[in-house]
Amino acid sequence: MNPPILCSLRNGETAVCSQESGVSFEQFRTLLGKGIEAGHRLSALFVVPDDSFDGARLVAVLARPMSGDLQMIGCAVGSSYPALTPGIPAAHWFEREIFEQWGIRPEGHPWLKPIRFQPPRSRSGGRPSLLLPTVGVTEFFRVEGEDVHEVAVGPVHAGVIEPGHFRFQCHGETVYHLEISLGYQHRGIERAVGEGNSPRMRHYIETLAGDSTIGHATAYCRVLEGLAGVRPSPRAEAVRMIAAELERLANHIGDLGAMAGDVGFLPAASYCGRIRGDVLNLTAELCGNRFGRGLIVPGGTGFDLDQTLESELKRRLDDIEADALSAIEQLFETPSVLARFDGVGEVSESLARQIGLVGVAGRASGLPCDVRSEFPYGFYQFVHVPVCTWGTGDCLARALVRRMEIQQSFAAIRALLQSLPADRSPPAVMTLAPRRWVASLTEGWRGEICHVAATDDEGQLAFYKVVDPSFHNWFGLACAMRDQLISDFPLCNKSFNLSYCGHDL
Amino acid sequence: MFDILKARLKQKYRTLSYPKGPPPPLPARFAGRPVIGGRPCDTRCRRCADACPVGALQREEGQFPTLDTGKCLFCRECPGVCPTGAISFTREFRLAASSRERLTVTADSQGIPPVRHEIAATIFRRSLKLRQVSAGGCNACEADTNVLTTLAWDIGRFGIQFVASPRHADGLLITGPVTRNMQLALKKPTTRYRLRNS
Amino acid sequence: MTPAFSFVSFGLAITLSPLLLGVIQKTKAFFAGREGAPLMQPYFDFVKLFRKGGVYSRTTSWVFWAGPIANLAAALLSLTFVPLGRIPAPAAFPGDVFMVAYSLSLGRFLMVLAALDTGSAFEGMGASREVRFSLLAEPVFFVSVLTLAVVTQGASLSEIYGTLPRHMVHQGISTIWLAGGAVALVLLVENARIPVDDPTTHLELTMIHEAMVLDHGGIDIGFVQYGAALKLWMFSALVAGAFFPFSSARPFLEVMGGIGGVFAVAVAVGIVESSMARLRLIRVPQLILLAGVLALMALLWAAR
Repeated sequence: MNPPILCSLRNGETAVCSQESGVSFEQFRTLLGKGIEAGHRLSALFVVPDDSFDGARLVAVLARPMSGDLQMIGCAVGSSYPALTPGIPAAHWFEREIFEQWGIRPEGHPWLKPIRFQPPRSRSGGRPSLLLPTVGVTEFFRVEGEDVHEVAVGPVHAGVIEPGHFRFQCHGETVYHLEISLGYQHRGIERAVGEGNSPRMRHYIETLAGDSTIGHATAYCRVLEGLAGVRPSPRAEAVRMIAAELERLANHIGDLGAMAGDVGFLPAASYCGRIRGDVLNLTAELCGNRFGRGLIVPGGTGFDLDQTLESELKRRLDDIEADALSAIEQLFETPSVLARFDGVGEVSESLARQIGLVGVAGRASGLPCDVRSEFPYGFYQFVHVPVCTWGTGDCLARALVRRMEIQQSFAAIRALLQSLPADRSPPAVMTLAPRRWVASLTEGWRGEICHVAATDDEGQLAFYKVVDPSFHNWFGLACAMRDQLISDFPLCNKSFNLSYCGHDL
Repeated sequence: MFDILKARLKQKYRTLSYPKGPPPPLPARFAGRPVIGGRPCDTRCRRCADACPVGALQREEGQFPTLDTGKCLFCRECPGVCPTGAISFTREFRLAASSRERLTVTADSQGIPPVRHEIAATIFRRSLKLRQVSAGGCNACEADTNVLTTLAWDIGRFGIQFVASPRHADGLLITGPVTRNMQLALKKPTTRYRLRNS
Repeated sequence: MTPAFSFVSFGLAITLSPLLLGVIQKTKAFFAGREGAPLMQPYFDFVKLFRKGGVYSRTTSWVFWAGPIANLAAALLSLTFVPLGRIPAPAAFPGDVFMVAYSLSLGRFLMVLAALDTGSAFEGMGASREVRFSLLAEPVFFVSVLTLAVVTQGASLSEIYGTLPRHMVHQGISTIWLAGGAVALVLLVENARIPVDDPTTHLELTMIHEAMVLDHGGIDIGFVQYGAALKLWMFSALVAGAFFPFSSARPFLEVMGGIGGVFAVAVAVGIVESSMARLRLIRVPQLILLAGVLALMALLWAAR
């Protein structure tokens, strides 16, 4: 299952495994550097083990918005290679992951530390090393000097949130630097899915990040559908899109409420919290589960809508829209709230581009990154959802982008419910083609979700790679906190609202 | 101030009347507590156990299967493959149990297992502070725990509250299967627990 | 006025102060559109907390558990000098406002020590914030009370508040309300309410007062919270006395009026908490400055 050397694919299209060893590393680096310079995104950078020689294959997936395709580049590397990060900052987190997972050292990487504290994976397919890393034990960045002090938070936080460790180098209330150390939620999902045909695969993917069930399940199903050459019925695609937009609605509304809660603005926090639940209940009407589990299955959807459910959804959506818009209006019309959001946690457009921000955070910094319109998949090929951007890159921008997307999602769902395609064909049987590679991008509510998979000679999944949007964005949060007040961290954090489990896998 | 009141009138009073009143309507496709039996079961058939992705269904030769709801994902594969309809998912949403074994549903299971704890019910009847710790879940538990404090469910009205420090808490709520990396962090706040009068 | 009523009002303060927290919660619940915790919830909490023991880390010393007790004692002590409406305080004496302010400061000082005793970075951070803001609030409090003293020519808090209604009729309300407004802002600062602090927050990095007491458990947190309730009662009484002076020939009605005023302040605090966001931490001193300006204006007005 050698990766293809150099090929361009549409989103979800497959490529045949290459027999050759790939481009040279120098070419690889040049191609990547030029691509990034031309405005392409590094969607994934990972290593595929190879038994045939002492080393592995380095694979990059470049998303090229201008041509609307994905470029997959592969090259062979030994047990070390010159790091890409100094020239391509977006590779920073990926290279740390590569070093941690496979022990392949990017020489000259400025910050080579574990990101998940996971046991190293064996390249030869044997038992992994027994030397387990201790979570949270690494060389943290330190600012030396008089009056500089360190505040460490977590992994267990005071609120009802996932675990993660944050270290602030502060001077009084001002943060000089924030270092984020994760890995507490590491469950080994990527590995479990990459090891073949477990009956639990779909369920692993659905709980990879519980709030992005639809986004990840869609990416996963599109991987399988690509490999099997199956196309879901238009109706199934439309239902998937409704589910994806409902997921976006629920989370965006919840996030605005949570941001209001963080600044202590009671009305919007209370209303949005409830309305988020109402949107989740709509997903539950679709499939019986508030997070959409069981709805997206390979080849189609697990459930369909009938006439009564359609009109029920329409009716409830109208109520929810009225309530949500009035609650959100409250938020943006209260001066004390705007004073808290404005100018806090800024990420400039150039920085966002450099470190490769995706999704809401990227769009709030002015990047027009949105898989739905750049690499349309499923029903997004027929229904266009406008890209919402804002230029200032602060908490207010991230809130405003969410507000605009909420309005767009309501409109999109309503349009879909007006004209659902009629044909109902059941999900087809999946037979995966052997020796294929596929990359599938979807736009989860947080941002770009990238799944890459390969099949072996028997047509079984032999490699699986997941890149959650949080993987791109955690470093952005660290950058946003520079020179901010430490008491504004919770607000900044909530404005990004990144996934811990999606990152840790 | 006027705007706040106007918005409040528009948003209305939202707390559910449950548990005094009826529970809120469940979605039509909701799957609650499974029941086994009621219909005959071909004791040689293993289709349900084979269909279960997580091995929650155990099948002893010659007996009805048992279903461990502690493992069950409620994916509803098993009723789909059962030829006689001996397994079905009801709309009963009360799924809690006070011990691990009670989570397993057998053909003899009747109703819902009791969960009342006498001492807890006297000391913490009107005031219960909980500390939540996530340990390797998928964030859905946290999301739904946060829903409990929203307007509709409002567990604050029963004197239940999530607090910021384990020292302020009367109990722990642990979500997730506990990852290796969370083991130590989880042990630290929990071992400090001590209650004098109970 | 018989001294018996002073003791009655003191007893009512001790018993009813937790209800004040309940009233604030209920007001917020109304504005959110939820049922909310019962009015009596703080009592339920206290009953449970006082049945629990404390939890002490091996690295903390006696300072850690002494802090909450000393803080509660200081709050009780200052309460004996704070009048309820026109009812004088049981232990009033000329210049007792200093006693009130400094015994509260003493309590705070010991709480700060207890917080530092844990050696946690958070508690140190919370303590530093708490000290910084109360340092600014203290002079504002003195200037406001001084203004009222100038207006009424009273020497003790009880004398000042005892004659406020009369002076209000003679001199108009502007001076008194300005000073009262300053005290009201001091109330928000001192009692860790929105827009200064969020008593319900779960975000450790934004906490002020709450961060200091994260490590106190069981009975100790009970002492801390009860002390906070008493302090809220005191400040509410001082604000209510300035805003809704109530005089009646019948002492019983005076007591009822005083208590009504205190609860009206609690409702007002609930409304403030329901209608605005917290200030950025860096802006809190500006709010205190505003209170200071109000107090100074009142003083100049009174002394003209």
